[in-house]
Amino acid sequence: MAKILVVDDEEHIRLLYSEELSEEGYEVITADSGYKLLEKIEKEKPDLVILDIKMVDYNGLDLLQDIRAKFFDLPVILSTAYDTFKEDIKSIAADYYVVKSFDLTELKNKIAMALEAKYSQEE
Amino acid sequence: MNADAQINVNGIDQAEIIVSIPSYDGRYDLAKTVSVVDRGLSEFFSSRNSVIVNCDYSTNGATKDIFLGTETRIPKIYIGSQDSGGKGLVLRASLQKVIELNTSMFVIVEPDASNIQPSWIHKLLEPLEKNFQFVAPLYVHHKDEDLLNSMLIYPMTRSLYGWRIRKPVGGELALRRELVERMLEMDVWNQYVNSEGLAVCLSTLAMCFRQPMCQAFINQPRKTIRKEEPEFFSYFNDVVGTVFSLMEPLEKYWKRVKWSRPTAILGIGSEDAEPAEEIETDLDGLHERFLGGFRKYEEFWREVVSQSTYNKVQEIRNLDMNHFSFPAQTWTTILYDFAVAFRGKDDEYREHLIEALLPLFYGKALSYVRKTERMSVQQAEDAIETECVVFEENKPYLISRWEEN
Repeated sequence: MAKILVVDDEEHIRLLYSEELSEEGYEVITADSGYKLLEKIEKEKPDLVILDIKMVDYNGLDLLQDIRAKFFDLPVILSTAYDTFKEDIKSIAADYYVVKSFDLTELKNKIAMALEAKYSQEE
Repeated sequence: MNADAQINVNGIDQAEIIVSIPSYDGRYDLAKTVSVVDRGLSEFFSSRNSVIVNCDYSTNGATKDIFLGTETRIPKIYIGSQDSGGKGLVLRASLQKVIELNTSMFVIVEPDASNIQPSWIHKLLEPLEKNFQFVAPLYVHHKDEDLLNSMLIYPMTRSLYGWRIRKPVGGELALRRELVERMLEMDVWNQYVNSEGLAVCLSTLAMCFRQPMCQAFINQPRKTIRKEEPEFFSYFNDVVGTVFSLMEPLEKYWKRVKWSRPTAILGIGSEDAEPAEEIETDLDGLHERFLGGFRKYEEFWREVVSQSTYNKVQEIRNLDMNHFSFPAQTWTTILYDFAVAFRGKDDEYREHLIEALLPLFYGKALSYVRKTERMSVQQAEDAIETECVVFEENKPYLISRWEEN
């Protein structure tokens, strides 16, 4: 069972993602900020991270840079309210991005693709 | 390669960093590149033992004199070859120097960038100090620049090997010793790699080995002279030949890969990026070259690509300039069919095959330039990303055709 870490400062998003992704068979853990995120990743060893770009105290794109520097092949999906972040070159270090929605079909597809890509390279 | 052609002026027998600069018959300002590399190493890596290596595949001795005559603080080694016939071959001799000099970090710097800065050396080497094994450059670029890379090399290497290295064709690259050692053991050093294909080959091998890779953001455009015919065909032949030819020895790597993964981007500072210069693309010229291909290769195309793809190419032929469009699906299947046709053939057939691909590439390039005419660089990049996904989605088609042959 793949373990997914959801990093988002909005509680309802964490709950929504946890519930729906658990139903899909994933093990879901959450973090409400980027505080000590690298340590959490080190400890929990998730297979994939869903990362909110705009949190109150943290910039998701900066966190993405930190994650990539330390865990170069950990899949990261950016979760955002708007796609204007694409102007920032840092965003291309993400596997995929999804615009936040209550319909998680796209997110689930991207999770499946990112994990499939990772596992295919590990064989 | 002739070992007598090496001149180690300072008797260097150990170096932590090697910067290797290829040269050919006094083309480009080698002295300027050497000076900039010297400044970069002296300014940012003064505590390290470094050496600048010139890999010269000239037919005369003028380049050697320029290189050795350029005053530098960093010691230099000249490697010359008048009988190698290729840049890749002589650059490979500098890769061997990594082992010989017990080097930990290796950089290739092409001399054709007229605006190279000492900071580029820093940006390429810094990630290696953070334990990345391979660094490819990510320059500021105009959306119509280097269409061969954007339309063919990048989508192909990305879909085959599963890593999004935006500029696998160089010009500059950096690697750690461990990766160099593994690369030198591989049986991939063919005629295409030994010519202009070395950078694509090194990028490809780095992707196969799945070592920590990153792209170094260089906040400037890489200013260089655009390659025109017939030089462009020679380059096209070498880099496309490299991608196709590596598919055989690296089959076990690419066949298992699905979709693609991003890499880290390092070197993003707070300084503003310098905008790229405007490029004027000869749309009519691209159209004429595309249509000219039908006169010479129509029957050959019919043999290489599937019937449905061939029919689509005929439809594209009939589109006028205002409605010209070369769909990603058609382009993808053409490239996959050509890659399959390349497999196991003799040199003569392969040269003809790549020659026959060129007019179709011109058609694809025209379609992209027209489509992105009013787009920003970011929007054009999004369009390229969308095309890359089509390559990834169609990979099962490539695998099934590959296995049929």
